[in-house]
Amino acid sequence: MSLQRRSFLHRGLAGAATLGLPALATTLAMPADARPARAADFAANAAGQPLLTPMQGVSDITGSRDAEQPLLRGRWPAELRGRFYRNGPALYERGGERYHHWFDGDGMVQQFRIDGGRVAHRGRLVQTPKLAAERAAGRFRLPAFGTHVDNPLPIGGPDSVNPANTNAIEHAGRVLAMWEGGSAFALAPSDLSTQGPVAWRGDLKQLPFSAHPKLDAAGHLWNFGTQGPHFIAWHITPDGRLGKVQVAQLPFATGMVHDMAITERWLVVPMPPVKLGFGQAFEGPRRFTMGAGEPLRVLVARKDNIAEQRLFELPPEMLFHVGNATEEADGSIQLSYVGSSDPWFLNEGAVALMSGNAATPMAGRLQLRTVRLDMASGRAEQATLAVDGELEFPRIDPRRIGASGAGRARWLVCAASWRRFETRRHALFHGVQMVHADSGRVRRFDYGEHHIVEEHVVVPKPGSDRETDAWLLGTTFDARRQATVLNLLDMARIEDGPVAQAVLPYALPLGFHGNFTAD
Amino acid sequence: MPTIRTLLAAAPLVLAAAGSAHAADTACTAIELRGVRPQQGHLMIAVYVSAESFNKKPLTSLRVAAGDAAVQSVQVCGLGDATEIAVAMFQDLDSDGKMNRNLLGIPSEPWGASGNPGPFGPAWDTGRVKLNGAPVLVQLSQ
Repeated sequence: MSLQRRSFLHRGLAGAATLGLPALATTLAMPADARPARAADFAANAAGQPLLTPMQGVSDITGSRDAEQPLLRGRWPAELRGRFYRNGPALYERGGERYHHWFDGDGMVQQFRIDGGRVAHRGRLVQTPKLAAERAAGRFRLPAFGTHVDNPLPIGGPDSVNPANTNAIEHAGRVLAMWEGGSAFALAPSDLSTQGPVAWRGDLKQLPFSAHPKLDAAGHLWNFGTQGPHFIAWHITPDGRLGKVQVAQLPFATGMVHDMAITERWLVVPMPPVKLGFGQAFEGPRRFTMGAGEPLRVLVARKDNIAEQRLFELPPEMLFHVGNATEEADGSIQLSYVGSSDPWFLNEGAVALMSGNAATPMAGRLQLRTVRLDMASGRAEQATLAVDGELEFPRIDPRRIGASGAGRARWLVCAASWRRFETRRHALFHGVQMVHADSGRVRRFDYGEHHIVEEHVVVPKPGSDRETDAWLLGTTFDARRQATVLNLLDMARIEDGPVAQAVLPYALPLGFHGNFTAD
Repeated sequence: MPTIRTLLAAAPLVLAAAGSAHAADTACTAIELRGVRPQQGHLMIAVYVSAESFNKKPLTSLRVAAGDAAVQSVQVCGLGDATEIAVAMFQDLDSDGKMNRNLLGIPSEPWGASGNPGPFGPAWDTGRVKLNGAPVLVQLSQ
């Protein structure tokens, strides 16, 4: 497979390679069954599995959900006021076809408005060009992350295939719905109407603005993007304007780079060697592989001058999410992240959820790691925190993002799974777990067998600086009620479970990530 | 494996030829463009008649203002005795005469090609269509 260096594909859509878009694959003869799955097959598989209802997804019609008065339980504190946003793939099927991969679905932003003891919900599909084109066609017409689409429409860049489905944050008066390989899409906080892709400057259209920006305590938004060997660093000022954009060339082509941590001075970006098998014929879902002989790299680059950087190498490993990073007194950087020995979730976990078929157990795959990055020597020392079970979606006190020393975050709040149930055959979590980053001490709450637990975020209580003087806010799916529930827990008493809940009159698609914005 | 050709190469050539007088002969075809961004700039259209000339030397080319609708028909003449053509075009949204790019060189204006070009760029093999009196269809990128 050779490409001209100057080719439209190579330069224009190198992001496709990064993202897993079927760039080269589209030029190959595909096996006859390398197609989307059948919606009817999922319906049949899911019929006896009440936990899988959220994986039915939404349609263009059911992609708008409103609940002004969900059932409230417990006591919603009067002093908790703001908007909690979540985003995730939500539309999985068109014209009887169904995506193979959870990550393919079109994004839907959920907004929970919490105000003086009241809670209301609004959900809207992000109105992307992809969604509009496929709605008009009545079927999938654009290349997706993990599914081959026949006879695709010509695409004009990453935003043509951007489902805006990974994370949502309100910043400077607008909601940013983010994906990994293209622009953020802006939505109005007042009604979640889509305003369009955000071009921070005229020459920055369609540059990757990743889905895990870090908002520091002063309101600055830090983000990155990768596209082949290009690394882009974004700084968005508290008033929502472009502070600075920097581009660096790395000595290798990046694979799937999902998240980063920040410290006061540094961007800390793990780069796992996970790639799509371009050029390989495939049947069913696309496969992801670990680049042979490639390490897990961690790029540490100065926020204000990314040319000043160090690249660390660790044993090969897949990872999606960081926990935190801190600057230590000896000049080193301490990073925590959730690692996995293989891309199992990409190839199996996220595919089994979509098909409704049972996944092989994920036991022992997701490990909470810490790594000490010695900026002087370039050496990296890795350790694993021995935590019972599996965990993911780590979050920290938002006031402590980027902070080191006495003000650093000590607790990582994760969705977790530590019990086995016959009825649970997928990579889904049943509890929320706090892990102390220094000691590995665990505190947790088990929602139980019939619940799917999603990411919980930390919401500081007004009037206190103590790390555990905070609420945990997160959604669960209650399979017995067949409803999505918004839960509020007291971080200092996590074991007691929710102090307040809002039970929606419907099940939402499972989401990935979200953020709370206080009034 | 055919090499995927490039709009990067095509764009300046289209531009160079744009505005040139049509050939005197009257062999013409209609091109129906779908997905035009209405009232935004100009459509820069190039017509090729061989693999050798594709993206290098158009037989003819033209620049027309984007109209009011997403579907727009354009008449192209000067085709001589060609029986097969491939159309490559882009919409010059800001009418600056060139395909805009972002900081990494990604084209940021819509493009299109005849035939069944696939998602990532025009090529002779995927773009060529027989002339049979029917309009040549070009779907612009999303």
